[in-house]
Amino acid sequence: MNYKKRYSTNRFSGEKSETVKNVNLKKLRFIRRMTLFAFFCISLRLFYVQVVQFKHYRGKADDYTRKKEVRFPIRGSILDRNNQELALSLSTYSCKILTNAVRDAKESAEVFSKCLNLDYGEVYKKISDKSRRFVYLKKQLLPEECRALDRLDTKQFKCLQKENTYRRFYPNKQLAQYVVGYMKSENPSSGIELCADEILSGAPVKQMRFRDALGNDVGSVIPIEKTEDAPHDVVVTIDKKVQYIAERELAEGMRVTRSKKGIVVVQEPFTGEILALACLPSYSPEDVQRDSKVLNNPAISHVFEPGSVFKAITFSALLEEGKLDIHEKVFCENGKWEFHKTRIISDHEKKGALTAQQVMEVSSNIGTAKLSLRLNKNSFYEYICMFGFNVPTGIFLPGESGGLLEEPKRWRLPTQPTLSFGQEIAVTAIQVLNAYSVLANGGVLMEPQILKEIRCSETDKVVWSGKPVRIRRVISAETCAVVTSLLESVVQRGTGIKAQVPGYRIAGKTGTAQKYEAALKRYSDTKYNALFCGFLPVEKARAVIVVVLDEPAGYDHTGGSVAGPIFARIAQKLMEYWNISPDGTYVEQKNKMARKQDYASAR
Amino acid sequence: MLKNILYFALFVSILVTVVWTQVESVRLGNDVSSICKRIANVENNNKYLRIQLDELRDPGRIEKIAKEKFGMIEPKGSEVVILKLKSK
Repeated sequence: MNYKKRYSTNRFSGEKSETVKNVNLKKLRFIRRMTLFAFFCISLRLFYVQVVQFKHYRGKADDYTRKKEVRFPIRGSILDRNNQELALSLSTYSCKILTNAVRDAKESAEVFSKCLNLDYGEVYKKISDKSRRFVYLKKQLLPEECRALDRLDTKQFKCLQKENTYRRFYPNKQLAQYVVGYMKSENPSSGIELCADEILSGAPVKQMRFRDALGNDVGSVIPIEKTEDAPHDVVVTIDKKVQYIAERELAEGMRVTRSKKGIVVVQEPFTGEILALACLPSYSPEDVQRDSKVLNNPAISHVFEPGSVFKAITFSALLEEGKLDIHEKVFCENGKWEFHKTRIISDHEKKGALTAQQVMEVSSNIGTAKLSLRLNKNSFYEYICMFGFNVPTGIFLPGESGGLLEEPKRWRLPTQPTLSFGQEIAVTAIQVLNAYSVLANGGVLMEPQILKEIRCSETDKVVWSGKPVRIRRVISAETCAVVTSLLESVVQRGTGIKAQVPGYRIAGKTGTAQKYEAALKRYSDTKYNALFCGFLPVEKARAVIVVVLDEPAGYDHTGGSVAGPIFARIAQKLMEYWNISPDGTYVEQKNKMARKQDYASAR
Repeated sequence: MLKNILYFALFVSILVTVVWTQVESVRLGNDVSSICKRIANVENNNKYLRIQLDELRDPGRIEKIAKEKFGMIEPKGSEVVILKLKSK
């Protein structure tokens, strides 16, 4: 009403401009109110979204920007005692091709075959096969192959997918392969890889990854929950250099003697730590991939009759029981003795009366058998078990055998005398070694150690450290000293003369065991196991070494002739490696000779 | 009027600051992510170089080169003389 009045007034009174001004002002006010209303609505909506529906929208946003994932941590390394890597893993990826996304099969095949060092035809065939949604061109790529793929234009090769994985490397190839073991595909197949698998691999880690609106990664990856089972590095007691020496000398010895198999184990007697464990023949990774059983560790799983090496155990029992004087004489029946008309025992040399020391030196079976009858059979059995035979030694490696020995109640009449020179008992190389360590360390049986340390892979913090494990005292230190002197005379004058290392006092025993042919139910006349087990320097033994050769094919197949020289070469190299100088006599003689030569040349 | 313009300018500047900080944080996040990846890559390469170094230092390989390339031979037992140094 008012408006009409005013309009009419303006129209007839001529005050037009003022009226227009008022109308514009009203419009502006209207717009302002509408704008405010719009802002109010937006604010209301914002309040609703940001406050009332906060959780819902926050969840939606998080679902997009935060990606939860499970990561399998990189497998820990296996290191030797000097922290040299024997096995380690690298993160890499597998090359996967989406066959439907391949644009130009010929060009792609050419590029991928060059990058991955593959055959062009094979690659072309694989990526052209549209019946499969995807194909793996190569798994677990080498770093240089990864780099070559990284250089490719991702827009051009949209078919390429990189799947994160790990690759296991063994930088020393076949060195210590029976200890370290192998990974068959992504599963451990033997050795430390198998028995320390949980320690090395750790538990999968749940982690959070952030990404922006374009899907690119933003910030660092955050673990969601802290796991106690992180992967760990395993340090073994093996010394890479000692291992190399053992493997090299064993290989050379096997070549010369044409043996089928060979074992060398080196142990530190006072701690029980295994410094080298060499078994031959060795196998390439391809052989292991085909059949992982090839790496069943013969040093701990292969059982054999020890032969005369076992005489040291018989003599230890006799001396400890006070039933032997090393100077007393025993008649050795001129090489052939029929025991109660049940078993003929023979010697390789025809001998008459010998002192106990000579029995050991010439390795007389008859002498040892006769002496062993002084022992009560239960007591003899107990000593054998006390030395660690008939039970696994407890070394941290898979597949250990405990050997074979009947209980005394099941022994036949000739069992005790034949057992005294190492028949009717089956042992492993590690058992023989550990038993000789008893003699080297003053009479105490130690548990053989292969694990030295376990460390956290990420922090390098030591979480477990191996300590020498004393199992029991087997014989007194006095008995030990006497047996050691007997073993020393074996190397000085007896069957072990080829195991001598000039200047060093060595105690050891040879063994030549006929192999039992199960099919013929008798001992073979042509197949033997040749052994030598000993330690040096006698004053304070640093290493106990056992050498086992399976079926040496040469004319001379005795332990002293074929295994003894291998022992000597390994022992010599170890003394040089450890800078252990020879005892006084040898150095003096050399110096005297050198001085004489110097004087002669001076004149 | 001037007051309105000032309000508007303030509003715009706040808006620009908020957007800029968001963009900058995303950009820095991307940088952090790429640096993390680079670190992992470099560590991986370092490990691979260590493997190659170990392969080159393999005693068997060195022995083979010494014998075949340089004609070296190992000293026999009697040729090694260990000298005892007297401490002063």
